[in-house]
Amino acid sequence: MAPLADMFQYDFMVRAVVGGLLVSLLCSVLSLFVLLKRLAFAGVGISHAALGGISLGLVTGVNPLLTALLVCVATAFGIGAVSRTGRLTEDVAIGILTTGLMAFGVVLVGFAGTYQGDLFSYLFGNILAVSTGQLVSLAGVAVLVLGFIGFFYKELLFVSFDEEVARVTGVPARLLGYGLLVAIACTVVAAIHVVGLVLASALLVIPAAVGFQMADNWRGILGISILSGWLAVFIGLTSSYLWDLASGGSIVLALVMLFFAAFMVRRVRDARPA
Amino acid sequence: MTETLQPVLQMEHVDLTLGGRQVLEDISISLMPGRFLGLIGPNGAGKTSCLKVILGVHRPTRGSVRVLGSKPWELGHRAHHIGYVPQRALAGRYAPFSVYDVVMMGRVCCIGLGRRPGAKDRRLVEESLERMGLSGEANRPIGSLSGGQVQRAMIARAMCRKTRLLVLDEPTEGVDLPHQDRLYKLLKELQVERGLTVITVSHDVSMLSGYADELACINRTLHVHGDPREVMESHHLGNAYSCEFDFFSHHPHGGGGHHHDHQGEH
Repeated sequence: MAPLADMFQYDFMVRAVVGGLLVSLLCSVLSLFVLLKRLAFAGVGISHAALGGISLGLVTGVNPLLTALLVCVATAFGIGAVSRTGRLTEDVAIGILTTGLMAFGVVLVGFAGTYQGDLFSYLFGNILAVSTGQLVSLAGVAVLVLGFIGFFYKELLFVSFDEEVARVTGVPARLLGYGLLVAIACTVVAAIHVVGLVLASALLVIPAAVGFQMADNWRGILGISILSGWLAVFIGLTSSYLWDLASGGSIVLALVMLFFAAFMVRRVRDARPA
Repeated sequence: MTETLQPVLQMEHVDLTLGGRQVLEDISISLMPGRFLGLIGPNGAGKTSCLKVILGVHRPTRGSVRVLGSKPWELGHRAHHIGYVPQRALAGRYAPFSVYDVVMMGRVCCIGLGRRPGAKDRRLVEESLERMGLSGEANRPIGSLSGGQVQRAMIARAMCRKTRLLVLDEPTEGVDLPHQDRLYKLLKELQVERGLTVITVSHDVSMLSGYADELACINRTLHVHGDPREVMESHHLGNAYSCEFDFFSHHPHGGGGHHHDHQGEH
């Protein structure tokens, strides 16, 4: 246990753990709604679209996370608006917008070759370099997103289960749908710190997927989702510290392993005679 | 009491075009409070679209709709007076909600934003579950119920508030025959007990005609609307279904014997 105790002697590791747990909490709570509303592909799309925003920030000198936030929010609204027309399904809208914005990002990066080192940390995350200021920003995003979900949780659950009935009985389903997409956009930008934009969607999908394997009710799924997210952050950061592995990749790999463990437990449980 | 004199539903010359195709043409239906209307018609006739106009999901391209005295999309918080049971509410869907959770969703519009369900909400949900005979199933996952139980849970969700208009889209689809009869009986009891107005879409003409006070037959246009027996005997019904209609009505309280509808050769 001594190496683990040593780990917390370093301020940067303490900040990394705090930031990781914060982002993981945010993503794990949101992931329940991402799975209920079948927005996993939207999470992937929005996170990849962030490349356009990051590149724009790097080239123009504006904070890349701010431009990424703007692009992600715009993408979220775009996905909502295009899919509401009824002529295109949401997955097609995501496919078009996401690839378009990624292509935009790639073209911009070609113009600004000197920034490719910075770009790498946005692509794959660098949680060990999280500053106190960034932690405060992360906490702000967490308060906003968790506040939104806490305030509207029963409406969000209703809309996730039965959008048309919710709308007919006076629940502002369309507004909440946009709200959820914007919350995903904000969370993706927050998760860029931890795992980078390439892997951010994993944090938005896998925690609740673990929960869905282990529990039959949304409360249980939410609890397991949060615990599995935290466990993955802890395992990922510890292995990153002990064996000098990439922190973002280690966190996502830990989550994937937790998912397969839960999947196997579920299979065994379902195979047992009642 | 003047309120009871106003129709719950008033559709006048309603046209609806969806995706460039005219789905409804010149539909005019008026329904007084406490009545049970059965909307019938062949597959693809526009019955569900008509319901969705009534619910404010679709806006008519021509004509006017009034539900509880207002345009359905302008009901605001009064929308909670409408209960809606959609077609195959749980078809192909895994949902991590208990029966109790699902029925509590019916209270969401009454609880208010940012508030948690209180003692009154819990009591009303429990009463609604009991009325639907689902008290013992409250903690079961909604996906583990039979088709008939799911529909009763959806009705419980629609009725756990001051519902004045209950709208159901093919409530008996996926429900076995004895439970179909039980479902309609339950709807009839609710109508009488609570002075509820009921509108239900069904293609099971014979069974519905035994419970509805009025039948309206739609096949893009309104072919006939009135007393079930008169509608069943009307030649308009055959026109709507494009077939001969040889019908024996189903009488829920005896006297009707077997229910059976026989469509002649197309």
